[in-house]
Amino acid sequence: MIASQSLPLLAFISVEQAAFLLLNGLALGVLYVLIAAGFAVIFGITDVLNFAHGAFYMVGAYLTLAVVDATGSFFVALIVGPIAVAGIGVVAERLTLSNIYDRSPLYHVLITFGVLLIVTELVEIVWGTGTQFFQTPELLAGAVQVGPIAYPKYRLFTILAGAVIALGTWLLIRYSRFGLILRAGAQDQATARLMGVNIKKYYTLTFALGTFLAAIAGGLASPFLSVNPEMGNGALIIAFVVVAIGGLGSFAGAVVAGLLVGFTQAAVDTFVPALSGFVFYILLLAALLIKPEGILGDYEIRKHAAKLSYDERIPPVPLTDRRVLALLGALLLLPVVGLNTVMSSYGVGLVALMFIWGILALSLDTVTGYTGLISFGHAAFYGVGSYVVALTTLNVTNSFLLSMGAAILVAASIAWLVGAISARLSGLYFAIITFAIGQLLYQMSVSWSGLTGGSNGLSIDRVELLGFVDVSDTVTFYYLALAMLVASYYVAKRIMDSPFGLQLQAIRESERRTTFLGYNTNMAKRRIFAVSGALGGVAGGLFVTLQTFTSPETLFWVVSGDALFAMVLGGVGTLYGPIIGGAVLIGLDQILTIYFDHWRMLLGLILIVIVLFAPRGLVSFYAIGAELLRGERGPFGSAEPEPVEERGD
Amino acid sequence: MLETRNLTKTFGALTAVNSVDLTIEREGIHSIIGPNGAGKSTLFHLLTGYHQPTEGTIRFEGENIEGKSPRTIVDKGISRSFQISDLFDGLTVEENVRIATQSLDENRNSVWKRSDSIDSTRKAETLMEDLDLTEFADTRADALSHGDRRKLEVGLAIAVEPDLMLLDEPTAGMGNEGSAKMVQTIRRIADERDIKLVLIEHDLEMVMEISDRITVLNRGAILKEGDPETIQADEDVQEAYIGTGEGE
Amino acid sequence: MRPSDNTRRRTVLKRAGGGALGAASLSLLAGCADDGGGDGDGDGDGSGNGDGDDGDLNSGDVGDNPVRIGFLIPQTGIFAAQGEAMERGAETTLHQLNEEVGGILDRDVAGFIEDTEGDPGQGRDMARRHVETNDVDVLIGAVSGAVNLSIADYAHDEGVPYFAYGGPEEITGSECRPTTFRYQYSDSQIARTGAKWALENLGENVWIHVADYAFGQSISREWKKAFEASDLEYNIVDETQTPLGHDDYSSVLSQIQSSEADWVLQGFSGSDAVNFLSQSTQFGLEQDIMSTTNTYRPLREGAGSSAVGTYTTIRYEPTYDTEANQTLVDLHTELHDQPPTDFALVIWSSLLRYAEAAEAAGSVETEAIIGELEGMESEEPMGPATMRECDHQAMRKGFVGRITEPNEHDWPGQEIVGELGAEEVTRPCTDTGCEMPDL
Repeated sequence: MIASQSLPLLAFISVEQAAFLLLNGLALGVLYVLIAAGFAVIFGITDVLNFAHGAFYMVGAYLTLAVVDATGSFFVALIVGPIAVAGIGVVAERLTLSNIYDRSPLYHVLITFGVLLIVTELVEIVWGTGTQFFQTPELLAGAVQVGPIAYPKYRLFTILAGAVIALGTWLLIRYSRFGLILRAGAQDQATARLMGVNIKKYYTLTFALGTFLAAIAGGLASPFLSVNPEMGNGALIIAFVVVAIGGLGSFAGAVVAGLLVGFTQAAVDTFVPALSGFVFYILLLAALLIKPEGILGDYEIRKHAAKLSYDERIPPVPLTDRRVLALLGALLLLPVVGLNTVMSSYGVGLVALMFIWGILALSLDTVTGYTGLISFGHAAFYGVGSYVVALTTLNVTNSFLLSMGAAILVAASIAWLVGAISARLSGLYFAIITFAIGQLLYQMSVSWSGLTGGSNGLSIDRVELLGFVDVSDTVTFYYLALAMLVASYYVAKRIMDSPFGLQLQAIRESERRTTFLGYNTNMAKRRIFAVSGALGGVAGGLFVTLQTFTSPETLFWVVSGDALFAMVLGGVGTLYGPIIGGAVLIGLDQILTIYFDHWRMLLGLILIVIVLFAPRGLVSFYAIGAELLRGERGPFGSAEPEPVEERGD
Repeated sequence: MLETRNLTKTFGALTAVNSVDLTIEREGIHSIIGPNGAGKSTLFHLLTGYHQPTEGTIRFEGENIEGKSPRTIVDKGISRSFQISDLFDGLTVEENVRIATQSLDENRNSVWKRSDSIDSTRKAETLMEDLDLTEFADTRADALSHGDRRKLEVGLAIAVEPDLMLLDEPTAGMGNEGSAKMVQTIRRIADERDIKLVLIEHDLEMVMEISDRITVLNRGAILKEGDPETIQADEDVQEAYIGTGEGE
Repeated sequence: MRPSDNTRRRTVLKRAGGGALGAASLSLLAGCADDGGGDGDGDGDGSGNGDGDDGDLNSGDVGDNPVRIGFLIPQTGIFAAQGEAMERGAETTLHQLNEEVGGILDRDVAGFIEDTEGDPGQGRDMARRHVETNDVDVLIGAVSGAVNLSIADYAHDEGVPYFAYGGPEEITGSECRPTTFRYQYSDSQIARTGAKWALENLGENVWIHVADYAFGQSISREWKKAFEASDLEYNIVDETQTPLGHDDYSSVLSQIQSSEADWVLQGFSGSDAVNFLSQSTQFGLEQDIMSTTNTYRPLREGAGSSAVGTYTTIRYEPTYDTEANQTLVDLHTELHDQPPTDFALVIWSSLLRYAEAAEAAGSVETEAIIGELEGMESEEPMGPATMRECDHQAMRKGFVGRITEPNEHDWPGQEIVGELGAEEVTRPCTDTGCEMPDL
């Protein structure tokens, strides 16, 4: 309605409106450029998608604020604060990324996710969770007349400062020796090494520069965007979207895209405010469809940068394995024996939740572990599954079979579409696109409250299996979830043993070669994405049946991060490992929260340790343990030289 | 069999392949030589759909294939190997070969059959025997010796049963003895399976020995074409090699 | 021992030696929270008080059969700051019940806390843990409206009384439940208070700007109804929305700036509100700002000087002069070294009235409690209150305030500038949409 009153026809807007639009767009655009710049620099040179970027942006705001409090000078703080953050960035990089640059980007994504968890919790410990007041510096307070309008001085300052910083960074990369080496290293590490350059050292410096830029953006933004621990989330999304639109790794692209997004946002805010939460995603999808490599993306992801490969192959355990059967037997007996003796029905529900997360992590493993596509948007399928079951139950039928069928169908269709849009893109683009689509659905679930109940979520009463079995009953549900888990595992394993499954693994190992053998890899990717989405939908549908409730939280990107975490924690690329990981993650959640308010920090630590020291997760411990028992491995994990006679055949 | 007309590929200011008119006959082995940067690999990339030509046409068995995807071109009967081995490193040799032979199997997209029980598995076993790789069936591709990796690289191209096979320096990095053996194996299998061979080769001595026809590329364009004797005797060719310091 | 450590929910579980699966857990008593030192900001990590690991703590304080109260508090997540204020209120109220009132039905009162994380699913789950594992007699708390609704629904399923804190109309409207009671103002009470006062005092031309999610949409809806109900002249110049978590308001501010609006109704909370206030100051916005949330202390702390001069409906003011308020302020200040907040007020009123109802009924049985609470009249810290039978909404006076320069604290203060009667601000029973289901 509002939009129709002021159609976006330039002829109808006044000079004042035009001036506001121009300045608002410019101020936003410059801020977006700054936020994205550090992210683009780090990615362009090290190929790392830094999920902790938003966290460093946030710490930048806090430290700038702290220095303002200590020194009273905003301008001093704007330099000192970010430098301190760059220091933190260097320490974080040295302790984590520095050791794993040669590994698959999956691990880069996860380790920076771990850093994000730790940094966020540390900030909450030090400064609390509330919003901090950041006084606009005296000199820049209030508005000043610009042509026909009065405009805030601080925003004008932001435009200026942002432009100076962006230009400075560009000059640094373009003309300094540091920049020359960085660019050489980005082109070709071997050449850079020939030039006698310690490439790791420069990676660290790159990280320092990237986090410095993130932090200065945070400091600059804080007088008009509030300072709180959540602020990094928005910045991370901005960085992703701007960089993807501009072209991965292109600094100039980030600048152009940042301004483009800023102006579009300002215009949409003014003329079509109903869409203002969707500007990022609409632009991103448009860019992908029109020019998938980004506005200025002549950059091709280097082969090593996109590949997920394993040193050790751990095949999935067959369901008929004795250990599996024993475990299944125990799980079947658990509610019968355990209920009201060692556990309450809450406990039974908790174990059922472990099954659900097992299915979710398993679904991710088919796409990521087997096909090598890093999905950072599996929350989309989980959430969609939960909403479809909730909506079907509320509006159509409370038959579990039908609502679950609908959930599988819808989740699979959405996943197929996601696959179709992004299958042309490989590696890291995939992570960005799936992330963005997940967030788009999250935004929709919050905004379209008529359908989804908005942030209030949806409550359902009870769901019945065949009109008479009440599956909302915890024990019944437990068996249902267990059955679905076993079935999902069976289906996934069957697929991976099939010719199609072999094709998927071939795509993971070398998509180019698979294409040159005559396979339609894009079709294969779409299909496995649909399968994976269906499994994710199953998990989400089960979740809402257990909780009799769902909310936009199920679609939030942290769920995607947790699913990746669960997958790697258990053992990526093994199908059964992720199930274990999902269960352990739920268990850790429950146990850690007992002892520690900031338990997500511990999760972050565990994640980093797993990535650094046990990249194949918990299942590799089992293998190591078994070898230890058989005496085939030294007590400290490193294999002893094997006796000669054991080699031979 | 294959015919290009005015085939051109530019990357920005660089013309990698410049108006190439190449004709490949059905009979005999055809080699493409030339100094580094002459455009040999780019030519292969164009013929196999990895790059799209800027200009010109490619006809294969009377059908235009320029602009087609690699997948379609493989289906039409042209396969290739890469200069730097591009194998499925994390999978076993047997799986590597099976993926390739499976690509022609009617069950290639089945999600329910076991991949090691479909018909094409047998073909994979035969090919491994032909390539003398059977003993490494369960070895991961990245654990093979360099020579065996090159063999597997060519093996994958053979497995898709092409009419025309483009091999990009199949013996790159191998010793003399290994190279000779390798070439012998390739020729034998190609003969048995009636596959036309086009090679890019660096080792001039070997090229002269095995080729029936040779095309010399220099700076993206065809410098000379003819039988080995003609090429060997040609001054321009020697000039091109010496001129860039790449002669052997 | 820090007071805040006592109510860390997980501490309870840990000490009880219960595993995560919740085999058993024990209570905490406000009785030992008499320290009063420390600022009670809850920065303790909840571990480390290693005494009494035998699962039998409080044996000297708690009788064999305490009345068990389940607090639902966002200890982590975006509402964590509010959660801390709530915990302080919970401790204060438990202290009052055990030490001053003498328990409920001669039994001690034990509190349990579970963390809702501000998430509706988690909230429902934790309510379930309270009922199934902690075996509580009554549920209370939750900040976000969504969490309130999901818990209210669950509490009704289980037949446990629930004292809601959130404001959404539905809680005592279309989603009313026999088990749900609300001493907190409903959104419509707030809207009727603020709308009438603002139209009379700030002008008739209003610009509505809200966040596009449940809370903002509810504000917009309720205030428009309240404008209509006020029988005063009004003109909505325009109504705009920005998504939840939107951080740039320049576009809407520049539109408001150049409009004929006299004042802006600001419908969001948390960091969105802080952003809006600080940016409107930078823009030098000439219009008055009216809100429902600027009374919250975390918001005033966050927005600092940019909140000064704005108007707000007031839920609680520590200096308000009644006997009941003095008792609350004194005890809260003694225990926590800082004045109580609205969170403490609502918990205080809810549980003291619960205790009164239990005494009158002679039992904590749900049906009896409901019977006593319905129609109960009481003197609360902010004046008299009546728990209305038709929708279980407390009827209370409404207040409007102005944010003032900081005086005794670091953050801006507030002064009451308007007061409206309970009948005037509460919608009639016929308008609530509540059809009370059976228990």
